[in-house]
Amino acid sequence: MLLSPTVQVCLDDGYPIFVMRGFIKPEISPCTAIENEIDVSVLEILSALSLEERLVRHQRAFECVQELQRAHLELYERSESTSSIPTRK
Amino acid sequence: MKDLNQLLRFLLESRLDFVLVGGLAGVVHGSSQVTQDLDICLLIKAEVVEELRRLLAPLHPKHRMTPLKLSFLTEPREISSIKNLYLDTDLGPLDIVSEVKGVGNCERVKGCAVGVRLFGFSCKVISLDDLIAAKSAMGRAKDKAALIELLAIKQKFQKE
Repeated sequence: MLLSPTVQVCLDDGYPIFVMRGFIKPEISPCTAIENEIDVSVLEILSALSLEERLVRHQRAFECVQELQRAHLELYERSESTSSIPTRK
Repeated sequence: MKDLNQLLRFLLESRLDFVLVGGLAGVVHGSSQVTQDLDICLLIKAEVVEELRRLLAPLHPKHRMTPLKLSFLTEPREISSIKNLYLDTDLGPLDIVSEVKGVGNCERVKGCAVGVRLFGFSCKVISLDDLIAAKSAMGRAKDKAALIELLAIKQKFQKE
């Protein structure tokens, strides 16, 4: 799959916690691509956390997503610079 | 590093009278969706804009949606027409809205908001029902995904 509409981010404790949509290639990330599903077990995990813990974990996922987007952009720019577009003279 | 929690804490410290709405409110309610900005609902009027400019100055706020990324500290000069502000700050994107689509104006949102303690401060958060109404009204793909989760969270509450 080239572009995944949804990405599930696994934080370092192994729990798949946050899901995001965006143009991220799953092959460059430690993520699992999923399609329009909700994971009830994730909601169970989150409901057991305090409100601040939820926000702290969200921030970690947010940083992870930013990192992924940066990596994706670099990959895209690299592929753009190496691809040749045929032009008509 | 962008840090939405630091941005939220900064706003809470300021004692600004706002309601947390949008994706981060969803996270507080138990959603697993990542959001990339902080949304607050605030009654936007001239004195509030002046207060926001004074308050946000250390975070170098800029208008995110303008091509030139104009500074919020100086633009716009005419503030009577401002309804929403989409800013970028040193701590992350901050959206300030005067009403929530599908719910109503700030007073309406505030009237049903829930009070919680976050980072040692009291914080008003849009109610789960209002957030569901807002996500239903928005209708974007990411809102639909969030809506499914929020409905599942509501169902879980009702069972307990």
